[in-house]
Amino acid sequence: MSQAATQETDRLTYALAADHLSKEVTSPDGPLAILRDVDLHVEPGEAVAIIGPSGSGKTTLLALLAGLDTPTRGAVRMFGRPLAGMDEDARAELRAGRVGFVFQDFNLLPRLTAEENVRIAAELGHAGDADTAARDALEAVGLATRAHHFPATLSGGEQQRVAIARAFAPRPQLLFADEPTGNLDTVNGERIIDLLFALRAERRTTLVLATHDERLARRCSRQFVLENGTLTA
Amino acid sequence: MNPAARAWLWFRRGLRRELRLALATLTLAAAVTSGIALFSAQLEQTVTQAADSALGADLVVRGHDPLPSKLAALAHRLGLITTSETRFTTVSVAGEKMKLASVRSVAAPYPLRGSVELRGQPDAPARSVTGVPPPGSVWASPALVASLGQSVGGTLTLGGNRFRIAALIVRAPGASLDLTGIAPVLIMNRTDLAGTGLAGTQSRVRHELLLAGPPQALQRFRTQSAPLLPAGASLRDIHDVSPGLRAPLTTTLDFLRLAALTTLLIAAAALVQCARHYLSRQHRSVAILKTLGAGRGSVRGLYTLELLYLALAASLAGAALGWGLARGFAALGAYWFHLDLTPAPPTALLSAPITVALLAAGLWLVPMLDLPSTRPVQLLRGEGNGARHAGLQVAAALLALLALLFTRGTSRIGLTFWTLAAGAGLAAVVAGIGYGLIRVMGTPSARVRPAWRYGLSSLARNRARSLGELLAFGLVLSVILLLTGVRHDLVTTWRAHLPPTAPDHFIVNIQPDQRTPVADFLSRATGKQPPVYAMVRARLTRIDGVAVDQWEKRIQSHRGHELLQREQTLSMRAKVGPGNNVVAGRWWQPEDAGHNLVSADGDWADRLQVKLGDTLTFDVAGRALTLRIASLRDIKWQSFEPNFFLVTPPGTLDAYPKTWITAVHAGDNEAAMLSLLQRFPNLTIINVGTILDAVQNLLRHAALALAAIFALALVAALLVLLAALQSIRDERIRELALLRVLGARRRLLVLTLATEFSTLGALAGLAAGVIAAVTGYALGRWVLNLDAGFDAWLVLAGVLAGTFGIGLTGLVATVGLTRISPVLALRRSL
Repeated sequence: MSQAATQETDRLTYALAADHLSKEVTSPDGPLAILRDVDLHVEPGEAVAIIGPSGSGKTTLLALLAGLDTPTRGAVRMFGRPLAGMDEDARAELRAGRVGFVFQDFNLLPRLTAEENVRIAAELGHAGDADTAARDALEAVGLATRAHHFPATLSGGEQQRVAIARAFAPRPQLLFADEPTGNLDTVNGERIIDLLFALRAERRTTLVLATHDERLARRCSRQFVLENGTLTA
Repeated sequence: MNPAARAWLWFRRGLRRELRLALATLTLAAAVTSGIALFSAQLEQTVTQAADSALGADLVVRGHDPLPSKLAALAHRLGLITTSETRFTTVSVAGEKMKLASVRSVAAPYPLRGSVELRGQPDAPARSVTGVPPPGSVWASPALVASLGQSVGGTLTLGGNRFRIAALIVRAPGASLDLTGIAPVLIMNRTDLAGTGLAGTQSRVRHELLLAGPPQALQRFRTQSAPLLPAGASLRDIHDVSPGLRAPLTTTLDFLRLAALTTLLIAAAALVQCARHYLSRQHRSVAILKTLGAGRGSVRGLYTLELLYLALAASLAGAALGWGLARGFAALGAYWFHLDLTPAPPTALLSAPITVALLAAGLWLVPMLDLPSTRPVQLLRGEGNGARHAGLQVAAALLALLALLFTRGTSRIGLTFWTLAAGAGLAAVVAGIGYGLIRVMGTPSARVRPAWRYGLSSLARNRARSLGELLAFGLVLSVILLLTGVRHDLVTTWRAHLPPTAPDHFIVNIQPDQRTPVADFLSRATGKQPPVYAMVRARLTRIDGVAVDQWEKRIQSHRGHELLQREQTLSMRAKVGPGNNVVAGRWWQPEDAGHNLVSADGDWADRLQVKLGDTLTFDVAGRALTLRIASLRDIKWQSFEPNFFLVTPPGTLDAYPKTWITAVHAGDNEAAMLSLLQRFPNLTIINVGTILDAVQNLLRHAALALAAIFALALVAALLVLLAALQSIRDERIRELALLRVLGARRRLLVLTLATEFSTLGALAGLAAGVIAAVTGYALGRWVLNLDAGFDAWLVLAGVLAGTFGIGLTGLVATVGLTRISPVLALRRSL
């Protein structure tokens, strides 16, 4: 199949596709393989979980899939477009408005208020009326009354809800979540997950979730296990 | 939200956090440079105007031939006001008595600057007058009137005409410290000159065109008048007339600029620290923005616009502060010293944005170039971002500092050179001392108390951090110590050379038999025995056997020709005079008394192209006298003590006809001077009070400015300390939290911090003291020409200031960190 035909198939079939993905880094003892020949295909609207213990390479895989890092070997196609030929700016342009992130440690911009944090994502994602998008997103996560608070004055759970609002504000097609409950207590963690999955379902957003929590992973339609750099279904 | 609005929000929010210190630092730098620029301009203009009052004009064209009317026409075209004056020396007669008078024939408007101070009677109050004496009457100096046995209302004869003495001159513009050929002043109306028949017969008439107006027009006149000047004519301003005025002004302004420059260097150090800290914080924000889809271009735009807002805010705030500072100096001067400072032109405020632009571009913008290349993956992995433009950053910082040195530096390359050398020396010495000592301290014995052990090993463990802090603290301390030392030398030198009792009256033409009685009289009147110096008038005829007419062909400068042709004054001294330094050759020993040796002023020798060992042949009242140049001196004319270009050993001039000169401080005691004249009518008394007042006012203002700039340097020092501490705050919080978790009590943490900061302070202080003492000595001795000694006390002061000052500041700034809960400290996202 020609490359053009592959892209067309991907565009129709997969939101995200990784083929023979490998990542090696240099260590004092020589090259160290973090990922080995990983294949992953995610259909639009699907939720997949990547499970693995700490140090198994989950975060590295997520970074490669999102185009935040480049693989040593293999290829990633996002919305049918190969990331390999793109420079960092082109990958950022591809992500803008179509890809959202939720991180373990929230990663809000400390000098912006909750609403401004959400609005800047909507603006960069060309989400039309960014103000309305930001207000709606905060409303959806139940933080409309905390819109003008700075991250430092919000609890961990509230910060993660703002991060979810930010991720959904541009109405992305694809969402990456890296241990989204890792820094939260059980009660707050469950609320966040409920919220994340409710919004995902409502907006039919594709989700790639990295976690070590099997209970959480079971809420996704498919689960993959990453161990010693190898991904198995 | 458009990019400009987003950057504005980014900037405003940054001001609540990391940008606050950067804004304070840039504002301080802008305030210092604009404040000093304004104040220097105020000072220069005020002193120049005071000096111009002494000259009676801003500029004078002087020549022995009548000046062409084209010169006055050119001046009028350039918008200058002019008047003319004719000067000559002639005999004034009253009855049987005769006295040589220095006549000034003047036309209205007169004077163009300042005024003539007159008295109706010797004991009447003085009044300031602008204008000329009515036709048929003259104003005369009390010395002349007393010598002629006349009083106000009496008459005297000049040439063929008799004149009524309308008033006594207390002070008249056109004062000169040229001690050759002086006689008491007489001012007459220009319209009376022809009637005296004197101007045509005088061989040594001096024609003057006085000019006044804006500096730019005067500068244009200087340039455009050159081809119109007749042979022998020259332009003069107050600096040519009184070298004593220029020297303290230049030294003061140079010191102010040095102080400003060193304050800028401290501010630059603070800014470097702020930029490093800011950069480390912003990598995370940029990584977040990039995951949200921001490209390099929008990141670059965001931070460039943010810097633009920062620079604009700092320039505006700094210029306003600088303006306030300069006005504050002026207000304090007016309040304390009743002095009116001339407002400086607002163009001086331009130095604020220029300084900010240089600092911002060199020390902030280039480090921020790293931001767009931040890799978003670091958010997931928690990686750091290595500096990608380290070489470019160093180059840009050096370029910015060099540009600052040369744009905001001083008029003297030496000062800039020594400042640079001190900076480089400091870096090398601090790094050397610090590295060595930190290594030695690296393994404190187990017997050392725990707080000391942890504190010292923390220094050794974090070697790069310790050296960075050592450099920052060392820079701050050495600048403060340097300013303290040089300021001390400057003030000491001023006090030594220009005490409140500096001579304000020169008494010349003392005859040999009057030497003792005049000295006794002055001793009784002033309570101080005045030094009396011989004066022998001589004409230079040969140099190294070459006739002066031939020698003149080697001389380029107009001033050189003048010096060669004019009458020279020789004096005798056993010891080097105050404010004189022998710069070549050797001063004579007692056994050289009576030998044909001479010590010449170095500048005089340069202009006449003579050197050590050359012989000078003089015609002294028809007798030839040949002297060999044994030494060259550097003379500080600002001392206002009688100084001579040419001095011989005692006894050498004994056989030649001579008069004597002395200088006393009379203050308001004009009556004593009049009594002296009544008793010794042949004496000539020159009142240099106007020029002295101008210099003393300058020094009073400068003292005020020095105190203010010193305070600003201290503020800058505090900023650099805070910036240094801020940049490692997070690291420290984690370290302290770990110690708490391991069971350390708060008291131990506080003692550990105290040990660390006071040891760092002591090391920085030691290095800074050594650098400040060496640089201060070099600056004072070779650049500012002060009576500077090696200030060894600065080393001790440095160690003490470092140990306690930095120890305490560091402790106060970090002690709060020991109260943060260890759990929070270790867990929270910093």
